[in-house]
Amino acid sequence: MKKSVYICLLLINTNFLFSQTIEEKSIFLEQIIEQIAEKSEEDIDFTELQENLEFYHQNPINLNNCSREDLQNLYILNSYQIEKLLQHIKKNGKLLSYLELQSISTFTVETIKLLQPFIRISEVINTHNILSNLQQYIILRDERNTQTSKGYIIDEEGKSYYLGKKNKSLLKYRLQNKYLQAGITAEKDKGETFLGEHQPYGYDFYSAHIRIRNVGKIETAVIGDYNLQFGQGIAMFGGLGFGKSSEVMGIQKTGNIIRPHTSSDENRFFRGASLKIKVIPNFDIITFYSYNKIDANITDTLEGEELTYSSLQNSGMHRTENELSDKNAIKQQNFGIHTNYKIGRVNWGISYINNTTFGTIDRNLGTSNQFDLDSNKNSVVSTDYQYLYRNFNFFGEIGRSENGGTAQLHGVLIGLDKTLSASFMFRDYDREFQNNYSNSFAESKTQNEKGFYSGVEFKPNLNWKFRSYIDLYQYPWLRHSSNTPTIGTDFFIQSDYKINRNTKIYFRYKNEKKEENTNIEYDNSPIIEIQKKEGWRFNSIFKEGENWTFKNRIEISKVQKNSVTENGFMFYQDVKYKPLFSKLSFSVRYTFFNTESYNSRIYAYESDVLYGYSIPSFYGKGKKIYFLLKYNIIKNTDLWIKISETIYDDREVIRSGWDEIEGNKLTELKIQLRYKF
Amino acid sequence: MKSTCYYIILLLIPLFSFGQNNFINSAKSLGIGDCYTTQEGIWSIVTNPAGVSNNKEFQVGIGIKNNFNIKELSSKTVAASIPSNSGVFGLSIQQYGFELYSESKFGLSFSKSLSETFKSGIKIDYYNTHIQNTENRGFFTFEIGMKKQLNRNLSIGSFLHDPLRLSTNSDIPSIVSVGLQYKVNPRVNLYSETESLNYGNMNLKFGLEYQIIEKMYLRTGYNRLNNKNTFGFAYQYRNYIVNIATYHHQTLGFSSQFSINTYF
Repeated sequence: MKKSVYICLLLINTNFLFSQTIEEKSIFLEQIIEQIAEKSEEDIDFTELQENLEFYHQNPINLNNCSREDLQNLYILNSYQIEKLLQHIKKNGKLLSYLELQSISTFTVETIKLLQPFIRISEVINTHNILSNLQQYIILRDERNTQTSKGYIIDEEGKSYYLGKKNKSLLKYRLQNKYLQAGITAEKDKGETFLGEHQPYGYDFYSAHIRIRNVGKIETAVIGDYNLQFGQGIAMFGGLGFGKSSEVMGIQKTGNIIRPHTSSDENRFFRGASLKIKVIPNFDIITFYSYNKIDANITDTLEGEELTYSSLQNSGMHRTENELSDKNAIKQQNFGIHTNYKIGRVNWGISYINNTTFGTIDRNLGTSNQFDLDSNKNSVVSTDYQYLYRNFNFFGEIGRSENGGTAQLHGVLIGLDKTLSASFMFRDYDREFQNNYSNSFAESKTQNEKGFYSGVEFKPNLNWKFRSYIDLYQYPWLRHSSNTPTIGTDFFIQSDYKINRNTKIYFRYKNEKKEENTNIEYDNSPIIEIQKKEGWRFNSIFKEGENWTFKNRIEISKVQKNSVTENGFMFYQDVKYKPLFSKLSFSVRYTFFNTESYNSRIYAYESDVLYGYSIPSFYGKGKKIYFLLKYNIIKNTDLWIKISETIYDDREVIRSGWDEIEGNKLTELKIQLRYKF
Repeated sequence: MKSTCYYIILLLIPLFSFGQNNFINSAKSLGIGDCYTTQEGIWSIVTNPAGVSNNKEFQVGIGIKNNFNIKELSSKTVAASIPSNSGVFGLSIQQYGFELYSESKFGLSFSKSLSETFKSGIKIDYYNTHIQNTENRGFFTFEIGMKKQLNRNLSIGSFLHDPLRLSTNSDIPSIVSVGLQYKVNPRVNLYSETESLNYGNMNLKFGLEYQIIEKMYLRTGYNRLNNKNTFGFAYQYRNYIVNIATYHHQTLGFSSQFSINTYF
C-alpha cells in the first residue's frame, strides 16, 4: 500500500522530483568521491564525471535504444544492474513505462528516482544529421590565494623562486551533441608563467579532442587526447575508476570504452587517435595509437642524443626552471587493441598494449622495488570476461606483462533479493607484474598484492539502507613503507536512514589496519607494527521547504601509528539556498577541525564552481568558512564565485617549503564564467 | 625435533584458544562467521540448545574441525537429538587436542518450545582438561539458550555459557551472546550477533545464507574479533546433510570444518 502511494506521488510530482534528484545524485556522488580522495595519494580529476552528468541531464538517454557505454557514464547503475536491464529489454521488448523498471532485480524506487532525470523511454524524432542540436560553451576560471607564499617573494636579484604568477587559470571550450563532441582545454597552474620566454604559447597545458559516435559502423572515434578503459583495468584503465567505496556493488569495472580526455591532468592520457568499430553485431574492436611528449626527470644526455631518465613525472607542475626542464622531456609511443566478443550472456575480451619510451631508463632500484619496470619498453596482454547467469554476474581479468609477471582478478555480484545484494572479489597481483597503465581494484596498486573482498548492501525498506564491506589483503613482497611482507584489513559499515521526505541521516564506521614500519629500530632496521586507523562519521541532510538545504557532519578519527594514539575531530554546518526558478543560488559552510597531526587528518568534499571540485584534508586546529555563489547574469551567461578562508589556531606559518605562507590565515578566491550558445 | 615441534604447538594452544571456546561451533555456524545463537537443527545442541526444540526426528551427526592445517589443533564432535513427548533431548561428546594436551566436553541438553514463537533449552556440561603427566581436571557447568520469533522475518536468540564462572580453568570463558536472524526472503537469511567473552571482549559477527537451489546452501560471514571472512556450503542428499566451512587466516593459513548428519 505504502509503495503504491509512493508510486502515485512519483508520477504526479515528477517535476518537483526532478530538481530534487539532481541534488540527491550529487550527494550520492560526493560520498564516493570523498572516499576515492581519501585512498589516493595523487590528485584525481573528477571533471569528466560531472561533465557527463550535466550532458545526460540535458540529453537524457533513451533506455530503449542505448548502449552499455551510456549507462556506464552515469555512474548510477552498477554493472549487474546494467546487464539485467539490457537483458530485460532484449527479452521483453521495449520498456513502456518507468514503472516497468521496478520489475528488474535490484532496481529499487530509490535507484529509479536517481536515474529519472537522466533517462527517458520514449522515442524522439531522430535526425541523422550529425550537426543537429549542437550545444556549445566556453568556461573561464581563475583561482588564487590572496596571501603570497615564499616561492613568489622577489629577492634582491629581482627574481622569485616560482617564475609565474600565483593564479591558476583555465579556459575550456566544448561543443557537443549526440554524435559529435569537440573540446579544448587550456590551463596554467599556480606559479606557472603565461606567455613570455618560458611559455611562448600562453598557457602551460593545452588539450584538444574530437569525438564521433554512432556513425555507421563506427561506434566511437577520437582524434586528439583520450583515455581508454579495458576490462577490469589490469591491462589498461585511464581516467576515473571507483575502487573501494560505500558503493559495495560498484566493484566491477565495465571497460570497453574510449573516453575523450577532458580534464586538466597533464600527463596521464594518450594523444593520437583511437577507433572503436562494430565489425559484426556481437563483435567490436578498439584500436589506438598514441605518440606524445611526457614529463620526465632527465639525468643524462648520451651520445647520439639518446636521453637517460630516472623517472616519469605526473604532477604537471612547471613553476621553476627545474620543473620546466622536465616538461615534455621525453617521447612516448603507445599502441594496442581491445576486442570484445559477445556470445549469448558472455562478454569476452582480449587486450594488447605496447608502450615504448624513447630514452634509456636509469632507475636506482632497491630491495623493495626491485621488481618495478626497469626498461623503456613494455607490453601487456590480457583477457577479460563477464558472464551473467541467473542472478549471478561473474567477471574477471587475467593479464601478463612482458617480463612474465601475471595479475588476475575474479569477482561476482549477486542479486539475492530485491532488497539485498552481495559482491565478492579475489585478486592476485604478482610482484613482477609491470604495467604503468593498470588501475584495477586494489588497496594500493596492481602489483604485489593479494586479497579477498566481500561486500553487502541491504535495503530492508524505503527508509533504511545498510552497506558493509571487508577486505583482507596481503603484500607478498616488501613495500616502500614495510621491510617485510605484510598484511592488512579494511572494514566498513554504513547505515542510512531516511527520517522523512526532507531529512536523511547516515552513520559510518571505518576501520583500517595495516602493517608498516615503525620509527622504532632494532639492529638498524625498523620494526613492523600494525598501524590502525578508525573513523566515525555522522551526517545529516535536512531540507527546509523547496529552497533550503542544511547539512551537518561530525567526524572523528583515531590513528594509532608508531605506538602513539592520536585523535581528530571535524564538524561542519552547510547551508544551501537553491530555488527552482531563480537566477541566484548560494551555499555557505563553516568547518571546525581539530586533529593532533597530519596522520589523523579528515577529508570532506566541498561544493565548488561547476566542473570544479575540492576535497581538502583538514588537519591541525582551526576553522574554515566558504561562500559559493552562482548567478545567472544574462540568459546564457553564468557566474560562479567562491571565497574561502581558513584560520589556523595552532600555527603562525602555513604549509612548508616554497609554498610556505606567513601568518595563520589562508584565503582562496575562485571565479568562473560560463557562456553557453 | 619432533618434541620441539610439540612444545611450540603446546605453547601456541592458549593463543589460538584465547577467548575462544573450542567446542561452541559447528560447520554450519562457521560458514556464517560463527553466528550460532539463532541456528536451528541438530548442530544447535553444541551451540544454542534452544534451536533443536522443534526436531521431530531422531538425528545423529559427526563433525571435524581443523585449525590452520595443524593436526594437533583439531576437534571432533558427535551429537544426537532424541525427541520425546515432553521435549527434545540432546547428547554431545566433543574432544580437542592431541595426546599431550586435550580438552573434552560431554553435554546433555533438554529443549522445548514454550509457544509457537518461543524456544528454550538448557544443557549440563562436563569439561575435562588433560595435560600428559601433569594434570587431569574437570568441572561441571551449564548453558541456557532462548530463541524468540519477533515477527514474520525477524528472530532473536540469546545464549549463556557458564554464567556463574564455575570454570576452574580460565581458558574456557563465560559467554553471553545475542543474535538476530532476518529472513530476507524464503531463500535468503541475514545474521548478526554480538558475543561477549568473560563479560568483556565484545565480538561482532555478520552472516549471510543463500539457498541457491532446493538442496544446496551457500554461506559467508565475517567475525570481527578474529578478523575472519568465512565461507560455507551445505548439501542435502536424501536424508544426509553435509556442511563444509572454511576461512583463511592472513598469517596462519586455512582452517576448515566439516560435518555430516542424518535423520531417521
